[in-house]
Amino acid sequence: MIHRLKLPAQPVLLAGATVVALAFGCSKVDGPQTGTTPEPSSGGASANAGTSAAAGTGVGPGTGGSGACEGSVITDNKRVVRLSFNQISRTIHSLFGDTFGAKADADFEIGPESPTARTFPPLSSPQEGSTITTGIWQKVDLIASAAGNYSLANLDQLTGCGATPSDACAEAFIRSFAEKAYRRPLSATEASSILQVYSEVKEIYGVPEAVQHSVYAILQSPQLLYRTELGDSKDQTGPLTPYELASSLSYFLSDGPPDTELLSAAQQQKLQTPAEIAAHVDRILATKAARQNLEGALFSYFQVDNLATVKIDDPTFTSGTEAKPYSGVRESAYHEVELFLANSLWSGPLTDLLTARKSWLNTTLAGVYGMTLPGVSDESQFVETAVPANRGGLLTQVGFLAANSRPDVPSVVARGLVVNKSLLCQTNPPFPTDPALIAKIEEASTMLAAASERERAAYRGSTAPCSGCHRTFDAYGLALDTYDSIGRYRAMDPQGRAIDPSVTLPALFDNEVATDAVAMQNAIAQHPGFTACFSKNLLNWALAEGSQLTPTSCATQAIVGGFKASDQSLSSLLREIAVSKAFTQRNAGGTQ
Amino acid sequence: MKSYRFARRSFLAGIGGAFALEILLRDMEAAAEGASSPARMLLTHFPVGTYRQSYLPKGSQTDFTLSPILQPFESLKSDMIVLYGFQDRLTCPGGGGHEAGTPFTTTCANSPGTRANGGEGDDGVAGGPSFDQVFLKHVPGLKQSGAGYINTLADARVDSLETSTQCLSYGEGIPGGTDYRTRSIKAANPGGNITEYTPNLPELSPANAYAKLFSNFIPGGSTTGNNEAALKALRARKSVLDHALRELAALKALAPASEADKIEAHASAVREVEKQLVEQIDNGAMGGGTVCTKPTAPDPALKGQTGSKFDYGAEATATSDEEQHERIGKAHAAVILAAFQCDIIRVASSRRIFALE
Repeated sequence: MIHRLKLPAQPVLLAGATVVALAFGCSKVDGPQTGTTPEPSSGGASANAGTSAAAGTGVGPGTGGSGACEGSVITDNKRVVRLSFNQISRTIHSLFGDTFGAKADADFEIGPESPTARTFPPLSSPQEGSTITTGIWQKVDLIASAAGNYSLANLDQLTGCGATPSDACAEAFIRSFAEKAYRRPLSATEASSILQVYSEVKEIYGVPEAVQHSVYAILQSPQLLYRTELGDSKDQTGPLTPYELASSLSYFLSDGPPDTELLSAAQQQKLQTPAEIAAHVDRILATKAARQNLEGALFSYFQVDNLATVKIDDPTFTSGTEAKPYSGVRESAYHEVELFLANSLWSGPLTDLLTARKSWLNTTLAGVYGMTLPGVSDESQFVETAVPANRGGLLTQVGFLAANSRPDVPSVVARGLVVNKSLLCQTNPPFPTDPALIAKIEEASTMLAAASERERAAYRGSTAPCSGCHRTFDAYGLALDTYDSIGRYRAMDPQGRAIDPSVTLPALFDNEVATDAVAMQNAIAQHPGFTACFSKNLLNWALAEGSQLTPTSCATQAIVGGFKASDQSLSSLLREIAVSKAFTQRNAGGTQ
Repeated sequence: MKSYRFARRSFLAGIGGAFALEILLRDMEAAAEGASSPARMLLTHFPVGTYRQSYLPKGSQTDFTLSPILQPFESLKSDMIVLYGFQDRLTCPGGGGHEAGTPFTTTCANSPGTRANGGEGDDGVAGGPSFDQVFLKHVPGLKQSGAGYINTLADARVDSLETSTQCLSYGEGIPGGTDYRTRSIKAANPGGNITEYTPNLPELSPANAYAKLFSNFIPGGSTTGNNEAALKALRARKSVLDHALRELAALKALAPASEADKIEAHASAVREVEKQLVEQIDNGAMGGGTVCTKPTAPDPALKGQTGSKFDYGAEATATSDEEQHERIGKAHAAVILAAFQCDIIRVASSRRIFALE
């Protein structure tokens, strides 16, 4: 009933989190702190267009990193990366068209409407994983078998060979179909293997069934189910092959297989330099598929997906119906974020996400925001409008605020933790499990039952062992405490006490004072940690399986350097990632 | 091919609807009168707690009196072990009562923490393999070639982002050893990465469960025509799997050592099924002749729902979810029973009622 992109909420920024004992403070940056050998960071697409990324020289001297960095700019070993089920769905659509594609999506719950369609990084969902286990293989086998059956039932339409194809026509179709499915030319061995299926099954049944089973075999072939990142030699660090890079780029940006232009560029060896790669990034980013994919990724990034499941005890929140979904705050807020991302991501700097003074509202949300929309009477109509002075950016939108609230009250701690983790890549501590400590917390909760949120935060910030961690994130939540559980602005708490939204930001900000949530967002947007954190997480997204990166990894810093030299838009960040060594090159993974 | 026969040649006209369950049950009873059946295991679970005072038996060890809730199982009392109090003995940092409780129940193992899945952060992961997988690996006669087991669920909307409240099976046994499949995941609690026993996620669609279990099954007994048709189908499918294995071998040769386990896991899944095909082909397709009739596939439209838990019970819902659960649950049960009777699997887990939180 919610109009949504169907992106299952996955915490975007939890990769590589490191547990820090409560008593020792919580100032650690998210991710392992391994490796201390600085390497040159990247000038990337902006600074080095024209040099050869494929040869490993496309990234130049550091231009924007914060000095020392950790580890290598090449993060991952040579590997094979399985396609997610959504990527398999997109691949099937490209091979068979939307009729069978839609049927496969529905029958096997693999398409963009599937609740497991999107996680961040893509394979981090419990329903996915990086390995094709028995359970996943069984599902893939069913899909492949169904594709074979579809081919038999639509033989002429699919092959163009008529109802009783000749061997020559059928074999030509199979070769061509396999190349499209594998996203590259076939080796002689691969062609021989798939034609062996054709000849064996032809002997058993006949040509139509031989085509059917060949398609079945292609659909469950590892050459389709994985994209390889092996380069020309497994024993040496080096670039992906042009066809590998074409697939990696396409699945990164659009979650689907490479289009004709990318494959053609790979074939012509025109996917070598940062400029060549960047040109394809720009072209792909102009497509609807890429934009929807990346808007969906960012939707998960900000954890707005939680909105679909969060429980809020406010009747206006849940008043949407099937017939009039946008009469409810939940559905309206969801759509506001969708529209905000769709309209903000592709123009202006990345920081607009936190600083934009406009949004896309309907009458339902206008009521929550304490404003009117002249001339708009139908709640299904969302219009671009300036937001009130107490709003600005995603963190003050109902979608973010409600998704991080308790049923009856906003949560200073929950909101603070999300900002700390998702926007700044700081490590959030685990909730204590020591019974003695839990008893102390319960005792404090009882003692502070009548206290204001600020008084509670003051207690947490001044009392060991709470202070070790809460001082690092409570301030963010306190600045957002002027918004209730559905994001309505409030000057007073339920007990009639005035809420002071001014906060002294954590040490990360050198204890800078922010007068309210809008000022806090501006401070975060300007902080180098935000850019580095965002870069790290989008690089993880691009790498699909989630590498052990940190904001201060050399791989991250190389991208940050190029990004700072650009117009600092999301498109530029994606371009920097696409041309980075972390994306285009792999370390040797060891011989067998 | 199969190790035992049923007394009746045909026990089922179709399992497309709930009505089939009654037919199955009648025929299972009839079959049981004249034939011995192998050991089987069906794991089911009634989630989200119960009324403790009416659940706990009185007594201990083998000398106990069943509680009112357990009274219907009186006839099984001598074979019964009643377990409770996991929360006092097992740990799961950050795990919710319901969320950690289900893996506790199915694995009896401490959990390393909770899954970072964007949900409530209390989605406890499995710290050991589930009983069905342990039994499959170690109890002689339970493991059949092919799928080996099935895990089904009638509704996945609660908690829609969690695995623990939806999954009863964890950690497939790795062939040829004592290990079970595990993987490293991001943890909401205690943070960082933790190792979980890989969830064997439930099948929501009875039609898909049917396809998994019956795709290699040729019905009708050992007639000449059936055998020929069966052999053709088996050889054609084997050709497809052979192709996959050739490609995996080629990929393994190209990939570095760090990817070997990943590729081997995939190849192992294919080889398991191919081994079954080879056995069937070597036996002349129908072999000893299981004389059970291949049931009709369930309606593909009948499947457990996914999506937000808040869709459940929403005013706009046009049909009763309880009715839907009953139809899906019965269809799942019918598929499992048919697969048991045809001796395709001997281990299954299934949950019909879902955890409403």
